[in-house]
Amino acid sequence: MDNEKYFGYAGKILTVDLGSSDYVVENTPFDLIINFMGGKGFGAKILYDGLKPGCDPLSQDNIMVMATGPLTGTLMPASGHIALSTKSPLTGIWLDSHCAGFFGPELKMAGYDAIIIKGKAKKPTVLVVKDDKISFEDGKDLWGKLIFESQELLRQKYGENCQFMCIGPAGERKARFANIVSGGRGFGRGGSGAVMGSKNLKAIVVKGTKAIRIHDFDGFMRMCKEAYNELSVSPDTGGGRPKYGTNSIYSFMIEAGAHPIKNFQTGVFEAVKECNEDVLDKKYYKRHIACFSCPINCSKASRVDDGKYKGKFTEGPEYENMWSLGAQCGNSNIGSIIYGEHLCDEYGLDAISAGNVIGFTMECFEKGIISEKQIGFRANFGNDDAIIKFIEMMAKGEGIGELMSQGVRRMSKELGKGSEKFAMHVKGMEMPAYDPRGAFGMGLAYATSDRGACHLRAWTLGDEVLDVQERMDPFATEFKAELVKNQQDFFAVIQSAVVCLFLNFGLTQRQITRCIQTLTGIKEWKTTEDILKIGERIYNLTRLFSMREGISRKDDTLPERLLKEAVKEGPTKGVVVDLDTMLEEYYLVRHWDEEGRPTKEKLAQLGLDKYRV
Amino acid sequence: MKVKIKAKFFALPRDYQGEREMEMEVSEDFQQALEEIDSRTKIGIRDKLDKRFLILINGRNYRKVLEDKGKLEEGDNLAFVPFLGGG
Amino acid sequence: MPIADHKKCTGCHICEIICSVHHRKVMNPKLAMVKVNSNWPWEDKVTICRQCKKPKCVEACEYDAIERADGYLRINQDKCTACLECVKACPFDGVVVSEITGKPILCDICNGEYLCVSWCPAKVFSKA
Repeated sequence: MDNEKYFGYAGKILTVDLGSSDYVVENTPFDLIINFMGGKGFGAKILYDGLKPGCDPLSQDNIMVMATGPLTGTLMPASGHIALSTKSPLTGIWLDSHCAGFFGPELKMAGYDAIIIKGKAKKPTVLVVKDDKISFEDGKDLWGKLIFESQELLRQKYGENCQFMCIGPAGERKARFANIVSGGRGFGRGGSGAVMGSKNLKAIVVKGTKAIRIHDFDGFMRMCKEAYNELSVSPDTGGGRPKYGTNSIYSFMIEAGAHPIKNFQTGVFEAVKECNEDVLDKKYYKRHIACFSCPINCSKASRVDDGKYKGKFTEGPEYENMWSLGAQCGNSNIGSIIYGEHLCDEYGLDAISAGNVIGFTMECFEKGIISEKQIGFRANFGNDDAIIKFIEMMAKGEGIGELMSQGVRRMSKELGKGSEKFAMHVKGMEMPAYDPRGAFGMGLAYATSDRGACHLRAWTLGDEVLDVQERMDPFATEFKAELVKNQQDFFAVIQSAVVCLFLNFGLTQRQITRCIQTLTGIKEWKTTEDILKIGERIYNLTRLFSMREGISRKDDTLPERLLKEAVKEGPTKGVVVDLDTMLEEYYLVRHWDEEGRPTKEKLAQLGLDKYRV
Repeated sequence: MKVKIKAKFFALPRDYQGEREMEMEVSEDFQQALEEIDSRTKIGIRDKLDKRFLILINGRNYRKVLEDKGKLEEGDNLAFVPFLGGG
Repeated sequence: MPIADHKKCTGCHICEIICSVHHRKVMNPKLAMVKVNSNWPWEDKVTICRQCKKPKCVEACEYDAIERADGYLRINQDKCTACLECVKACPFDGVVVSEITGKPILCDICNGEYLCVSWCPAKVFSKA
């Protein structure tokens, strides 16, 4: 195309080959933008076309695509996110992971819509991107160091006005759910840190000074102002979320029986009187922290002021980690949760998977499947010392920590003795902080999420439990398929625009798409439906990606515990999830066949006809 | 007629009220009960209902429950909750 | 003359973004006349000129590069040598150093509109 003008976009894609220390800068293709928008969408298209099917995710053949979208780094509220797409070493299928904070805006200001990372460096490397200057620097002094020390050293070397992405010892040794940290946030799930470690890439440094242009200036300013106002009066983004962060739902999830206790064994958590969002707010939260351009400031800086964990601090703790290191392990000691979350960030481990695996290990210990001798200490539920020890062992690969750090699917397969029935994962991704027996829609969400058990492709609890439209029942299968599909498609748009998912809890779909339209001026995106179709296209493409890597209908399932084992007490007593009914309806709504494959007609409608299953 | 109910408060509603739980005797007529609850609590529920907060009766949206049974019953649990968003 | 209460600052940088949008019609926080400095995780500090009645920066500048015109202090970029003595002299840490040019910048109060004040979600700024 001639004279392409980019509004919102930076206009360039940087492709780096770590093996040859070489790079190429190209214009961002206009048809990639129109059909896939950015972020997760860019990742889906680039990886489907460019990644060798069946390759080992920890080999030099794997590719990482870090991409922002048009709204990233702009006046749009909550526009600090960036998406990372790759093949997961934990699940062996599609992975997209999103990091909040400031890295995305800085990358765009440096002039790039995406960085594509290929190959493997011969020795530990730091990739430095400063506007047009790209360099591959020696990372051996940082290799082996914890993440916050590494970031501090990078700050001293490259200056205050840079942003960093960094792995820790867990990523360096390729623990399968190792994460990548940027500032105080991270690319949490699926093992992206292990991919980076397998490439000998310790860190990426970005500094940018370029401007981002607006197509319809008055229109975009008006939409941004409207968005800010709307967010401040919306009950969630203007109320609970700024005050309590993601923990605004904590006690209520327990009340609803949707907070899984002790590896999803029960629905009752006696300790909620001392461990809840109220206590966090009064005793531990010291400060509100926001991401780039965000008025919601859901993040918190917390510190322990007395007791065993005095002095420990974290940016958090998030609802997910309050669960994974808390109720999942039968633990109500908030100090240990704060310390544990921070340790995960220091070593570079996904705290959700870490806690899930620890809870699983505790159940195996209590059932006699693993002995005290094998572990080295007693590991009953509620033992906070054990939680801290396990985190370190998983990070360093010590003792049973090595097996644990491979993820709960591999661990349960290795242990056998029926443990696979309560290994709480889908497609190898450890389940997060919602029990589908408390809200059936989450069961369908977990079973059909494109990266394995995940709460960020569909989050049905608000609709199900509060039932604002008065037609939902958390324990029924009706309407769930439609709800899950619509959320997955819309969230894919948010994850390609790339902005924060929490906008979904304060703005309408139309408001968000109007922001995209006024910013970019892209003619092909005339209606909200045009933009939503991009989300549907992306979700079908990641499905094709994972099917090419071997998944099929049998993988769209839940652990036996949720399908056959009813909880014996509490609000969800007697409930098991009827997944089959919801799944059949889901395939119909998606126009996928009974094997879960996108039909030819659906692919043609989305312009994906050249792709086969 | 009066019925004994248990009111539970979560997140922001609890923040307004200052406590987690209260037992009270209220009218079985829901609108009347709301008036009585307003006079005994600090939430200002009638102003905020369906705008910032919701009420679940025994775990279900209050409108649906009232459609079914029409009025409050002895032993009902009323949960005062904010609109939920994930995390 | 906006005064910033650091304790309220959440580090969102909206003041920087709106400053660049208002003055340059593009989004580039690095061009802003206000700056947020991060001291993760406990503090974000905002740097902005208070438009003092007896400015120490003017006293410190050997090159007479800081002048008062149209109701606010500003730096004459032609006379400025980027010696940064003004930055050291300011008792309120109010002089922003541009990341792009390396030269100091002072807030121009947006013709009295004070956009950072009205857009800041954490109510960090107040007009003095």
